[in-house]
Amino acid sequence: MKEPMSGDCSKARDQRGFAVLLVSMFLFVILGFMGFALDLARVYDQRQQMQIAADAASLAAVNVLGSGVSYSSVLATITAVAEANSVMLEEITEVMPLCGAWADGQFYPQSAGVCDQSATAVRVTIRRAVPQGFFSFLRTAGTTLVANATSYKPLNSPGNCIRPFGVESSYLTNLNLQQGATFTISGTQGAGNWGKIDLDGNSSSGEQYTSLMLSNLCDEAIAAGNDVSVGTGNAQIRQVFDTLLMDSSSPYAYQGMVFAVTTDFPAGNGVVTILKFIRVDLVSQRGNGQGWQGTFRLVDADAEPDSQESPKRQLMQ
Amino acid sequence: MFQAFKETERGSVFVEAVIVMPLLLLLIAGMIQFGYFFGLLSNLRSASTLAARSAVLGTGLSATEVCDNARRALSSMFDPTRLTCATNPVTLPVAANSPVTISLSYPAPVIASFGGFGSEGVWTVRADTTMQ
Repeated sequence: MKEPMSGDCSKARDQRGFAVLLVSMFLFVILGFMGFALDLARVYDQRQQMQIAADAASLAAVNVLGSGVSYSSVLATITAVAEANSVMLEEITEVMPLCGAWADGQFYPQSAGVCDQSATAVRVTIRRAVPQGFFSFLRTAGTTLVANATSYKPLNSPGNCIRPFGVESSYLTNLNLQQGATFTISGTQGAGNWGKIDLDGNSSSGEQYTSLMLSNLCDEAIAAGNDVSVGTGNAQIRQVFDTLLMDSSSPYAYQGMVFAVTTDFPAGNGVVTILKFIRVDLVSQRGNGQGWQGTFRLVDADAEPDSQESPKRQLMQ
Repeated sequence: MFQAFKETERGSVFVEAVIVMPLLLLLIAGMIQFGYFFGLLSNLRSASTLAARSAVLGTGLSATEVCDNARRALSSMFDPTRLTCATNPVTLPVAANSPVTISLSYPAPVIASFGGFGSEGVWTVRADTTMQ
């Protein structure tokens, strides 16, 4: 015999207020997450703003370095640019900006408050205390954000006339490089994106080519619009750049090299047109001969070749 | 007639859900909208920084080329043709060590309108960067 339904069971079926209860419970959780996300977004937003201001300020400051520079003029530049990017003076001066030198990927600061004419780099630090937003009722300390930026002036490497190295314009255009960006050149002539060019009509042999790669060619007659013959073969390309990389003091031969940007290279002998010049630093290289790959940093996308010849170097074997 | 409603609870969950669902949906729409605007702002700021940097690095770019750099830096969330780009000074390039400000603004579509927030379904996201 079945038992009659108890009163408890009918209570269990009472669904009034169920959704409201459920929603209000979840609402607390959702609002908590939303508050956290908003706080995080605010921190991210301020961090991005501070980093941009630090980058801009240090970049501006490095441009005023040189003879006759004083710490106060550097600080004034930093302050003006940082304030234009919504950063307050006290946020910049809590950690005072430093002048110094940049070498081997490291910043070597001068003494605090000093900026003499030997300075080539500036470091800016911005500190900002961001109070708690949504969770301020917890009365915990806010976050202190720090943005650091160091800019340096590349050393002028004298004697960078043109090297007999052509890079295909179509390749560079596709890369859409910004100044300071790195790019890799590889492959052999015709199939790759670089090639040997005979700048003076007299350096088609490997030996003459190598000599010009190591010493540059200073000739004002070599200009955009010129047609130049191309040289074939790239057997010693690795040794050439190895030799250039040997410099241990400034001016470094592998920095500020001037290459020609040309029309596409033909598969064999032929002619290309020089379209413009670029200035690059060699970053690294691997492989040799046809498998050679060089990674360069774009220093100047539209360079003027220097007029002074650099010292001749012997090929390192 | 209403006696029947008083005595049965069938469908009450449905009715309550109908009441709270719009609120929840509004909340979710707000979150999506916030995320969208935030993403736009962040990307727009990066683009203005990049453009400003290209304007002061001494490569002699014109204002049009600098603004093209800004457009190229936009992510796929943007329609580059709707971007407004202004430079101060108007004519570039400037002399060395002179400040350049790049101001970008983008009319972003509003999907959830909160009491008149945004006009005509558009909210303009702006980013300025000054470099020297």
